[in-house]
Amino acid sequence: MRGLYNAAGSMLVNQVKMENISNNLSNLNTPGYKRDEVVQRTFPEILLYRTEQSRPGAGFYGPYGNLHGPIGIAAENVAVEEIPTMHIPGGLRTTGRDLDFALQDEGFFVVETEDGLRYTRDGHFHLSEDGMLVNSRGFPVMGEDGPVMLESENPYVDREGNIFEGEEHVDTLQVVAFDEDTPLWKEGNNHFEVEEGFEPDLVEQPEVFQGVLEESNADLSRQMTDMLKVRRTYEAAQKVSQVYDTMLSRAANELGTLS
Amino acid sequence: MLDVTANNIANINAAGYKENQTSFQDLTYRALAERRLPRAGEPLYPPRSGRGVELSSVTPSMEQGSLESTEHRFDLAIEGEGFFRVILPDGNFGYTRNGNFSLDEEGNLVMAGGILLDPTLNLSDYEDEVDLNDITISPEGRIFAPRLADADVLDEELLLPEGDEELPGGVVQLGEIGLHRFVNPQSLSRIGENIHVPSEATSPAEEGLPGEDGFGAIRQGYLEASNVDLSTQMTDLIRGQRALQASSRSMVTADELWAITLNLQR
Repeated sequence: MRGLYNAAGSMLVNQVKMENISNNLSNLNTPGYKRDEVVQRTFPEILLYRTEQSRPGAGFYGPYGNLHGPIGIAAENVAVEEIPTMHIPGGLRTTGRDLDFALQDEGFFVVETEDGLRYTRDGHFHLSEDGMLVNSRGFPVMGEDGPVMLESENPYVDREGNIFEGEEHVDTLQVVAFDEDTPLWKEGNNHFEVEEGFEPDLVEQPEVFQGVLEESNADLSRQMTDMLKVRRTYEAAQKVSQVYDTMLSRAANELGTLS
Repeated sequence: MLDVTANNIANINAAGYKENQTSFQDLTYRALAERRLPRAGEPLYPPRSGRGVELSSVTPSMEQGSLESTEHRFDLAIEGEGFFRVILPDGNFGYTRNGNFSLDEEGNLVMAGGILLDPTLNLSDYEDEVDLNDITISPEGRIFAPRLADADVLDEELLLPEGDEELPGGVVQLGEIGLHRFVNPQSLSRIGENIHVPSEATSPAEEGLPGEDGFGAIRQGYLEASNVDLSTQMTDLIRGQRALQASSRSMVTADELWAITLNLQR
């Protein structure tokens, strides 16, 4: 009867997958969005043991045939192991707006929120009332030392993130990167949050593009095929449940009846 | 996004219209553990699932639109930075780059809808003295008109512009049009008629004369065309539509999953 629970587990996991695909799809036009992928795992794998006393000679598990012997491996259930974020760069889209920035390779822009520093690849920035460079949420974007202050919405920013107004070098956009296994998670608002105790490294030679936004790296065709797969797997799991249902029904109602 | 794009396309011929650009951001994430969904092990990244997307900003692009010649004497375009200031019916100031002005019945310089240009200028005050059919507006925003030949008394207030005295009939300056600018014009909000009003995040307006201190010059007989680029709008339309289709497809699929679940019990 374990299979019934396996089927139910599979349905639950596929629901999580479906949620994830919906989220990726809804963020198709979110600048700097990184897609998530559900990694599933069977857990825990266990050995099945005989419950009845083996008849001598029937088993091949050694000379002690009358002991309870293992008969094979079965998976208890399936579950979501993790939902990692794919930090693959998205395509670049030219907007021509002077306060739109994109990072080509690795790295994040740094914004300061009430809860501390957050990291983002969404370079759609604005100017606040007092001339501070802020993101869409109104959080200041960090330069070399502290928030970037500008005089106009039309600065010139070179490849390395140096900001010029006229001839004057005003500030440099802070671009940081993390080691590969740093726990970074999405917080919403296109922000990434890093677990306490992990410090980013300053990128010495960032590749900053002005007038360009990084597109979401979720691609439509792949998400759509994944969605089809989820739908069919879900259906299959449902069928399995129904088969078990039939079996149980037979066992309960038909076994032992004459007709 | 589709609404904004549609609005941009609709305003492709509106003088002084500034294209709006949309941006999005993801919503918060929720740990699977909170919902008791099946998980395995203690991974480095506790699995979280996202909750979707929201609109993060709609920002006007303040890029200069091209100047189109109309040869109408009260059509003014700003070439460069700055806004005309107008007096809204409720008494507040609004800012616009739509220089499609005309004279109302009383002789005031107004934009469509009778909204007064600030500072107000009543040209009919001068109709006995100057030829109002021959008004010129200089790039510096000064309004000139030639004195009528038969006008013998010249109003004291009417100034003679320097160096222009030799012009036949004499030319007088009737007034001046000032410009206003902001540190962050992209934060202005729009109230229709191409009029912008300062939002909470807008810096105080700075007043200046056209052609000075980085303010744009005024071009008489021109209108600033909308800065909407049709091909960009069309691609945006396609992007928006595909995203909409994809999301509605995922809704349909989610619905199907529920249907499958409900069919468990035959």
